[in-house]
Amino acid sequence: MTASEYNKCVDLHSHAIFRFAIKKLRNTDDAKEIVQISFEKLWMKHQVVAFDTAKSYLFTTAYHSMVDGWRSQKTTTGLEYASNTVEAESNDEYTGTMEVIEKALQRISDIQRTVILLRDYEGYSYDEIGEITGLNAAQVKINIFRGRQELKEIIGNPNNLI
Amino acid sequence: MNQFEITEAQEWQLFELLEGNHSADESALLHQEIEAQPALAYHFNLLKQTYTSVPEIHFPEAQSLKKQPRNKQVYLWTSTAVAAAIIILFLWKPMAPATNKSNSGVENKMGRVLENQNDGLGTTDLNQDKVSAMQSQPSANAIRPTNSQATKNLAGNFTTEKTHPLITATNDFRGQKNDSQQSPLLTKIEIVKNATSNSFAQHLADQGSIGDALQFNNGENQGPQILPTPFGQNQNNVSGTENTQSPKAKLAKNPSPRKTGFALAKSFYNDGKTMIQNGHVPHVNIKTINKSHSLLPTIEMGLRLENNVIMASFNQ
Repeated sequence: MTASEYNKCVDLHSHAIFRFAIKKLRNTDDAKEIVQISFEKLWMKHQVVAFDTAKSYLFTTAYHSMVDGWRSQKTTTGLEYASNTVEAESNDEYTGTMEVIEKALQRISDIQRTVILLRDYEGYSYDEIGEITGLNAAQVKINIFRGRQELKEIIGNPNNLI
Repeated sequence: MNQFEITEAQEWQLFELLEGNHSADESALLHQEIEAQPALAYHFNLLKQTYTSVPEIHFPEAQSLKKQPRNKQVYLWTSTAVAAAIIILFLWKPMAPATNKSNSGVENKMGRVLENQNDGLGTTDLNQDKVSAMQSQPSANAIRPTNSQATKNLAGNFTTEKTHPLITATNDFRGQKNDSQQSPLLTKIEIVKNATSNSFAQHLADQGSIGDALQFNNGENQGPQILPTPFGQNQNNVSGTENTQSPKAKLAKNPSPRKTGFALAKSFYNDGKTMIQNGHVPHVNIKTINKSHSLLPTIEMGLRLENNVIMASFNQ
């Protein structure tokens, strides 16, 4: 991949990576850092990674960076991080279905949220999501199904969010 | 809510429908069931709401992620430098003195080597005509690897120094080794043969070899003179056993086809281009490697990486 192709990747995929990260992390600064890490790694490997596979590489890198960051944060901050997250959620107001879904997405498991976001935002196939997350296509499909079931329960009864 | 409960199989049917995994016929059939069953319609509508639309979120620092494509500038600069270097190399030959115009570059080098050897031996009977006469004889395409030669320094002692790697000897030249009047190098061979005090030199001389012989001047041992080995001939060592042919000798026996000047230049240019494509900034070096006093120096051109590693070079 040349430098110009890399710059084209920035134009094409940086917003999608940022959107994916911010929906998963719910923190703008952390999402920006994930985007920067992903593109920095892409530039370091730009001679190896082809332009056609750059999007998949970026999402895979972003996903693994978020998982690693989430693990380290969970290990280091522990309860403090969890309490801050709950407090931030409780201060929000639910003004419509989209907001309910946004909040409901934070209640489902991380892998279910990831596969649903990749499916809905980026339109990835089960196989492509499997490549990014390390699951097989059947596991991806089941996780999407289970996640949507939980979202459906929350949307059907928003009191479940309280 | 019990009246809206559905089985898991029906949940999967609705899911497959919204995922687009059903065929057109299956979808049409399932839509008819949904319209007929309120419970299915209720769950279908809820499940449909879980499909989120893409939010309008933009990464504000996208421009900061971009890299400056400087490869093009470097490529242009290096291309210009390489092209200029190649032009200089090819224009160098016509600028050589008129006395050497009739000789090829290799023969010129041979002439320089012989001239240096003559200086080192201290003989005075060698003139340019003899060298030219020898050079005008047909070449046997025997290009030997790097040789060393003994030269006499100011203090009168002989030192060994490297000469240009291209030293050509001719078959005709070897065949006339008994005629000391025709070749300065033959004179040395005759001296070697006459130096009976040195058994090693005598041994080599008896073999008719002109390689690894010791050279003498006025009967004194003046240091080793490494000369070309006869083409395709094995050589015995001091103990009389046959030496295994070195890789260089094998290469001389079966020489690979040499590249032309244009092919060398093209290969050199492609090397530089590949280095740029791999993200390196090559440095083009031009230097003279044979500072002869009488002739124009031979030029070597090389490509270096940032860490001074020489990637490619050739001389003309």
